[in-house]
Amino acid sequence: MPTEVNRGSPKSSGANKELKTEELPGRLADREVEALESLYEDLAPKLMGLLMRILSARSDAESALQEVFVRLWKEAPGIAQTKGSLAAWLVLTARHIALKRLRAQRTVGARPTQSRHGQGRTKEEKAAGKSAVSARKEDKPRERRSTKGDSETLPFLAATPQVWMPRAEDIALVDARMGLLQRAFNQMPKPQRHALELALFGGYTESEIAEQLGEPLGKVNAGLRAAFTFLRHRQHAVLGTWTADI
Amino acid sequence: MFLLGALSDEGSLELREHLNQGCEHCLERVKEAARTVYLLSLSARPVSPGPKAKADLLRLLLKK
Repeated sequence: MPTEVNRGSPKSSGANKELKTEELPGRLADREVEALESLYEDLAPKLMGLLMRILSARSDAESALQEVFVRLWKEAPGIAQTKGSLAAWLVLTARHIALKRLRAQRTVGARPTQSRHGQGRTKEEKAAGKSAVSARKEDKPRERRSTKGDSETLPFLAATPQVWMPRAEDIALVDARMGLLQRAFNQMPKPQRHALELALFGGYTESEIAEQLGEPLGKVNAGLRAAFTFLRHRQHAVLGTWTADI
Repeated sequence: MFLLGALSDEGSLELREHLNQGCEHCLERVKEAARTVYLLSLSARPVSPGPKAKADLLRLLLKK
């Protein structure tokens, strides 16, 4: 891995705008700080929005954002070799880092209070349909009860970007039609969307979501799968990428 | 669901082992799921990092 930092490029600040995100991995691998700055300007607000949605506190989100870019800097040569989407790597890595921190916070928070507060949600909350997310905001001790989680998948994904990184051209197509795709997401039936958001931003496993919602695991599993199928079909419709196996 | 980290430990282990064997079909589906997670993750409203965040990052990287 190159260790020398290259700040000597004669590019002007205006040239940053000409750098395209998907052209950057090679420049990052060559230790061009200007490339990192360009990427930061372009994507940091999106990543920060995601990190704050997961971690809530701005200071935690900024610390996680820094970890994302430090990891990018370290792993740039390997990422460049995958030929995958750098934007997707950043977004999914930011999510992994934030969820790891969130789960650690839950574990620490649960230790002294679990026996007192480990009774789950009240019938009244379930009847009112309050989400785990809203319960988390209103009642911190109850939120702390969930300490389980799939502890292996996120490290696996972090170590094997070549397994999951989408192609750069596929992500460029998603970016070009982001508005339409987000509208499709908003059309998802509310119960499915709610369960999906608990997994996406709350880092809960399907069994934890079932526990949170007071629903059978099979029903939650089916709802999450239906949510993904819904999104998959909408994406293929919007992006025009239907294939024979659908 | 695998990409979300939402599978049970057992289900996740089976899939990891399967992917490690190089199943092209499933690898393609995982990439497609990653595209979906990317899309969903960006439904969060963008927030500007604090004014010092970028300078702190660059200082940290240049120090290393």
